[in-house]
Amino acid sequence: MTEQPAPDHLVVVDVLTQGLSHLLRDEDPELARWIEELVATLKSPRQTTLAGWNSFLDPGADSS
Amino acid sequence: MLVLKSLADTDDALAASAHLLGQAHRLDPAAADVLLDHPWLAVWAIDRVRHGATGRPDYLPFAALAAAALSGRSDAAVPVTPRAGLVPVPGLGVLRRRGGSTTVTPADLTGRRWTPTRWWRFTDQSVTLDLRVDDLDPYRDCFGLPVAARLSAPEAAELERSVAHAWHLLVGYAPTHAAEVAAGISTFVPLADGTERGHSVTHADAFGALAADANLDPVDLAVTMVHELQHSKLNAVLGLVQLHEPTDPAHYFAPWRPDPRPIGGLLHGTYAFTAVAEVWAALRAHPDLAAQATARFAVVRAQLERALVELRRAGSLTSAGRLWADRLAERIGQLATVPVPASADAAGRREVAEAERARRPTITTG
Repeated sequence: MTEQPAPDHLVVVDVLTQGLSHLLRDEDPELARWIEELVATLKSPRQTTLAGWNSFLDPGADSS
Repeated sequence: MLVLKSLADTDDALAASAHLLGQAHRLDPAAADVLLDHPWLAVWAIDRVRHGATGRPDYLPFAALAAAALSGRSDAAVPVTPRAGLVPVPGLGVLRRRGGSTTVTPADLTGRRWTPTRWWRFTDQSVTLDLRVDDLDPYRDCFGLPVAARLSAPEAAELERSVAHAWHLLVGYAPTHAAEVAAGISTFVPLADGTERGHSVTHADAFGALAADANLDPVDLAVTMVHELQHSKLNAVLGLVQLHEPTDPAHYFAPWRPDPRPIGGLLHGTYAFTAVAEVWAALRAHPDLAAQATARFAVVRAQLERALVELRRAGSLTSAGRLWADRLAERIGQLATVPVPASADAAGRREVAEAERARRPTITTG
C-alpha cells in the first residue's frame, strides 16, 4: 500500500450496513482507496500527535 | 472495521482472526458489534497500523476468541499468545495461561483459571447504562497511569453503589447528558491507589473507556463520566476534522490548569467543562447538593467565560474550529443566564482572577 498525504477532512465510507465478513472479502478499488486515505490519516503527524492517553496535551499532563 | 480490514489485508494470521470475527458478526451482529467497539481493540489496531508492531502480542486473536465464544463455537481452537501469563477475552474476562503461543477454545473459559469481567446494568427511569468494569485485561494499561488490580468483592460493591447513585443523579437532573453517557461510555478502568485523588483520564483511541479513581464519590463520578465522555467525543471529531492548525506554537491560559495549554488542550478543556458546568447547573435543583452545585457552577462558568476569550484570540482555529468555538460560545452564553447568588458569582470570578494572576507570566503570545 503506497503512502499518500493525509487529507484535512477525512470522509469515512459507511461500512456499518455490511457485515465484516463481506467487508473482508471486498476488493472494490474504491474501498481500497478509502482505506489508504484512512491509513494515511492515522499515520499523519496530526493524528500521531493526538494518539495516546490525552497526549494532545504535554506528556505527563492530565486531560484538561 | 476499515482499520481491521487494512490489517487483515496485509497479514495472514490477522486475516484468520478477522474472519472469525466476521463469522461471529454474521451470526450475531449486535454481540459482534460490541466486540468491534471494544476500546482496547481500537487502541491496538490503530497502534498496529501506525507502527507495524506494538511490542506485545496482537490483540485481534483475543477478540477472535471472544467472537468464537459469542458465536457458540465452543470447540473452535483459536491461536493466541498470552500476555503476562494472561489470555484476555475482550468483554468476557481473562484466562490464566502460562507459556508462549498456544490455542484456546471457548470451552476453556471456565474453572479456577478463568476470571470473568464484571458487567453492571443500571436502569433509572427506564434509562439504562451498561458498564463493564475492566480490572483484568492487561491491555487496559494504555492510559499512562497505573491501573488498579482486580477489585475485591467489597471494593467492587462500593464502586457499584457509587455508579448507581451517580447514574440516578444524571438521569434525574441531567437527562440529556445521561443519554449521551448511556450511548457513549462502555468501560470503566479503576486507577491504582496512589494516583492523584479524583483523577480521571481518557485515551484518544479508546472511545467509550475512561479510567478513574474508583473512590470518587457519586457526585464527582457523575460529573467525571460526563467530563470524560466529552474528551472521547472531541477526540472522535478530531479524527475526522481538523479544528486547529497543528503547528500553533502558542500556549493559552486554561483557567482549570496550573500551566498554559496548547490550542488542542484549550479546546478539549473548554468543551469538557462546558458539559461539566451544565451538569452542575442542573444539580442546583437537588435539595442536598444545591450549595455545592451552585458554588462549583459559579467557578466553572467563570472559567469558561475566560477560556472563551482565549479561544477567540487563537489564530490557529480552522474554519471548522471557529464553528466549533461559536457553538461552544452559544452554550456558554446560555449558562450566563443561569441565576446564581451574587456572592457565589463573585467567588467564582475571584478564583479565576487569582489563578490568572498566579499563572499568566508563563503564557506565550504566539
